Amino acid sequence: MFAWFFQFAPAIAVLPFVSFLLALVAGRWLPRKGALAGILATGGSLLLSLGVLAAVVSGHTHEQTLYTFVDAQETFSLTFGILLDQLSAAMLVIVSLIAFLVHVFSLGYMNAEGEPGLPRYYAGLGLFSASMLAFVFADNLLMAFVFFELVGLCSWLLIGHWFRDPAPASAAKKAFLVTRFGDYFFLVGVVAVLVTFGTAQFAGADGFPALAAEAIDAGESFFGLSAEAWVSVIGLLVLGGVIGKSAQFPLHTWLPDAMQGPTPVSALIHAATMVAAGVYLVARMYGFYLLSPTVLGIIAFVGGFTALFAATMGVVKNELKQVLAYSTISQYGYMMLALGAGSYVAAFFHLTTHAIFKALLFLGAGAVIVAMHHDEDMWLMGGLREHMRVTYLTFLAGSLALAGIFPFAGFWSKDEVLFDTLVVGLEQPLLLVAYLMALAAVFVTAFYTIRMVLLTFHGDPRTDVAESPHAVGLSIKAPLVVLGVLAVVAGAINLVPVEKLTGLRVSFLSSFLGSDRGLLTHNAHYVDLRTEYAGYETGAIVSEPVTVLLGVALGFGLAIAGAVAAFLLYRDADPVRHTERLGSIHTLLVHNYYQDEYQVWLAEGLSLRTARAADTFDQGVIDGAVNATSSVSLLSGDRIRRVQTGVVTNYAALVVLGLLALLVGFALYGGWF
Amino acid sequence: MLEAVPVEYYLVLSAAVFCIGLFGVLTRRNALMFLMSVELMLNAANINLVAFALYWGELTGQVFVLFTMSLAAAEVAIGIGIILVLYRNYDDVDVTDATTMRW
Amino acid sequence: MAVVPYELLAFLLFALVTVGASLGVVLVRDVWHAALLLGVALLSVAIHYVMLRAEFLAVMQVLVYVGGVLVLITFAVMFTRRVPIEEREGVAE
Repeated sequence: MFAWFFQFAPAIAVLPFVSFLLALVAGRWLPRKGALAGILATGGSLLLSLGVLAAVVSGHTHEQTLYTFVDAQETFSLTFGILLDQLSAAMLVIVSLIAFLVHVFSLGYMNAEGEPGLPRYYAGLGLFSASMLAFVFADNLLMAFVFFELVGLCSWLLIGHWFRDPAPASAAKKAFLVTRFGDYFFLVGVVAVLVTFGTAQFAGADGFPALAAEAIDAGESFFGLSAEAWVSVIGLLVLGGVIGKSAQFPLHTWLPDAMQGPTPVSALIHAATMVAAGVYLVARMYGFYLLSPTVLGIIAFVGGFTALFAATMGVVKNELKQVLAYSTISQYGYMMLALGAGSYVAAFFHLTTHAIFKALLFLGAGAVIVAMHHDEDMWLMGGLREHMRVTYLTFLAGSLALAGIFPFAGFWSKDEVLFDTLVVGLEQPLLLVAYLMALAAVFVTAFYTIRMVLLTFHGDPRTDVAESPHAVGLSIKAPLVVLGVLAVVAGAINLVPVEKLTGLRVSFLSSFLGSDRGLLTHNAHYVDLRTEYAGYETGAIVSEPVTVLLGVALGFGLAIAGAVAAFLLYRDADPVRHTERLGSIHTLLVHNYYQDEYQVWLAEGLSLRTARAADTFDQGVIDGAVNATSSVSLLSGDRIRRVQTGVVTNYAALVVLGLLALLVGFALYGGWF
Repeated sequence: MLEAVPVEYYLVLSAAVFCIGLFGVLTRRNALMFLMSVELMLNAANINLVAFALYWGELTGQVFVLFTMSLAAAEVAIGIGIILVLYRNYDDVDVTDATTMRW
Repeated sequence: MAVVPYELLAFLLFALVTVGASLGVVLVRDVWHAALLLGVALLSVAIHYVMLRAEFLAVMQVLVYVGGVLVLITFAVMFTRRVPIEEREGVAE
């Protein structure tokens, strides 16, 4: 009954694009400089996405080619199309919801503050939303790549919104270049997929994941590699783009710098759009990744490592948004871990809940920043809960969700990620290592989250500004309330532990993602692939319910432990900077493990030197050879031209001599003498 | 009658006149002398042609001589023009003066 | 019997004239004399043509060379005549 929504599906991305065009061309004359157009457009997208989701829930799917821009006869055609299955429909709702709320929030954050360049800002937001939505419903890898790149472009535009300051401008450049570095591999991967399989479609028996599975079954070989190895190579190439966009180690360095952009943009980038794009891409072509246990292992390990690695850096940060930035990297690590462990549902579940609570936290941070007159240092805050009740409560809900405290959304999703990794890890030692790292990250996450809340909202005000903060408006509070409620209840969409323990059918997301719609993108198919190709087996400690309880106890216990530890250390009215007692570890963490330093060294010390050497070689040897040739010609020409006397007599004499020489030559040759 | 004067004699005469012309070209610096020496060389060639025309009993050689004559006339006309320009520019007809176009 | 080879004698005579005049052309100092000697040489070549039974060519030789080419050369000689300065001044007076 909802299937007629499908014909309006392209409008989901077109509406924000129209708002982008409007803001770009006529933003100066629009009411609120384009904010209203953006709100209307993303609101429309949200409604349509909900309609599409309802249609998919009621059992329909939709796959359609919209535009063929290269119609090839002999090889492959290049097309744009839409694929609406469970994954993309659910993701569309998340993205459009966050985009809508961010637009509303911007009204209070940007417009009320009298920022300049608002049309440019709203144009960027519109294009950002449009590209992300189009990326989500892309039905083939090439289209996904195109919009993936557009998302990267928009992040550059928006992070560098205050481009007159050197810091945002440089952060924007860094975000663009680092993600571009990853996208380079992605592009090669796209070409490899097209060349190998002749199609880049995600879904169905004609899609490249299905073709790759067939090729492995048939024992084919590509370019001298076996099908398995070649699939792994392509998987790793595409993974380059994923690691860049989803800010996984070692390409995570752009994300903390991206905090230089306006806070609503940070919320959009980190919660639902740019960073989520990487994880979403892996989920989108998950049928392909499941064919290669090697790549899955790498994904899991990178994810687990990033989760812990980023979380430890979050502990020592003093700026509110920096803490959130590192938590973002860490949480996306969890999603990658889940994907690597073969748990498609858990990854998407965590993506969903994270989108909600991270958007909430960023918007809450935005509210705090507005209240603090754009001061971000948590040590200058304190006691804000007295003045901003709504912000405090919603921010607390988001923080508890992030920390993984029962019964907030983050608890359920993180627990599922950890549980799924654990049961696979019991049979795969590498995944067990990744699991242990992620488990340790739970403690650290809870610690820095509670520390952040306590420093910001509790204790005594530490500055005059914190004592009488700036009031925030309704357009800031409304999105917070919406997201705050969601952060509390969103976990209910997939209560897997409850189902496992009591037998009640309450894992709605699992059954939604698991049902077969004939597109080969449902979870049941992925579970088959996981067993068949990746060779993952699941183990249990004693029995499944015991394992479930043990997993919950470990995850929740560590979260509580981290939260309590932070509470004990920072509950004072005037807290002490405990992290500084860590000594050299503190220094290491404050400097982000010197990741930036070595990457700058790679860029300036290595690349630049290599380029200089190449330049010297070019100037000296290549150009030198060319110049030498010309100098030799010039010099010899200068000498030889002296032969020309200009005296006609000499020429005549030479002609006669030549003639005589010829005569003598012919005479000797002809045998006259 | 026909062979009263052997053709070799004419060849020797022709060669002699040609060499004299060549000598003139190579030794004199006066442009007019150049012109006259070239005329001598052309005439030497003509004698050659006419002698062989008689020797072979063919008129082709004589026809060729007609062409050579018209060529020589044209050449002299052009040569005169060049020499006059040379004279105007250098106030002399010495060919070794006009060396400015070498490099 | 000893027939006097008149033709051979004529050839030798005129060959002598031709070579002598030619040598004169390239050896004399004065250009004007050289031009006149060239005329002699050309006329003697015309006589050779007659002896080679090319009467038409002989006529042409006289017409074109002596009547045309030589006149042109004479012109040139007169145009480019280097008159000593004192003599030119004398003419001007």
